[in-house]
Amino acid sequence: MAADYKKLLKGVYLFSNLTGQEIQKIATICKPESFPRGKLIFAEGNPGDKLYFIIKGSIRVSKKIRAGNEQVLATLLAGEFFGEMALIDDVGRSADAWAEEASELISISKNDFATLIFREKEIATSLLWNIIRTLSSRLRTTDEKLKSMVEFKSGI
Amino acid sequence: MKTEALKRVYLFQSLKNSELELILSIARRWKFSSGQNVFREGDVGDRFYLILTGEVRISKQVPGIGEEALAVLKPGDFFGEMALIDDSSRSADAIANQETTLLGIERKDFESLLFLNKDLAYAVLWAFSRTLCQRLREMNDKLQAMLAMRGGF
Repeated sequence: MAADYKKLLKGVYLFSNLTGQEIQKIATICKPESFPRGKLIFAEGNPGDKLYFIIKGSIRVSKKIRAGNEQVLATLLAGEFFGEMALIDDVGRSADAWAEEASELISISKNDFATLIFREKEIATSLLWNIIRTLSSRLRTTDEKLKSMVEFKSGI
Repeated sequence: MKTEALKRVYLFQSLKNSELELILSIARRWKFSSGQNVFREGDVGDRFYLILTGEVRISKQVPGIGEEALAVLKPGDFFGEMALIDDSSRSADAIANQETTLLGIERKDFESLLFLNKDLAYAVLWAFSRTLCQRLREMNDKLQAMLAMRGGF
């Protein structure tokens, strides 16, 4: 069972610099989860207790603007991860996550993640670097979206 | 004195004195005269700066208008920390407002230091992650608010 995860985890960006042995340690705390198309995985404001990796399918991350209206922040595909923010800063989920199609995910609970990276500083360092790089690129995308909106508004 | 200044940077807040000394060991002093550019918008950034003495103004050149100052930074303030993690280009100009001494840390030195000191890396990278998370949340909320407003037009 763990061997299967190991193979899948190798394709996840977050784990790209880990050794086989380190991935093995991660595999022991992974749980498979599947979601049918259109299913809500978590909603904005929910307490965040898990980090998710996409093995198959795609996930839409969005925020509600008003009743029946949403702004898509990102569409994430196999190899990408989401839900990491709630693991880092203990604030609730910052957006909704929906299964855009039938999706296979792997989840890691907040407690297991915290324990693992506290015990394994080597793993922690690699993961944190990758998390930081991902956050920084998401930050840049959002910043560009915001800027284009400001320009759009002042152009009215 | 310099370790005290470093301690005010959120990335280094939880570090022990011995760890702050390690950070200082890879830092270099840079002197700028009044009006001199520390960097320009669009430059590829590979250095983080902490102000020891003097003042730095962060500004943008707006076509047809000239220089628009975004902030004036004082001793203890810092800027350019995103250059420690990736190759992003500078998003504004940084100009010395007067005779200024900066402490600069280069990305490759920072990476090697963290590679060799896992406890230090753990503390600094957690602090970095938390800050980025917080900024991303704030920005997402701003985006949401702006979209809600635009919908009302």
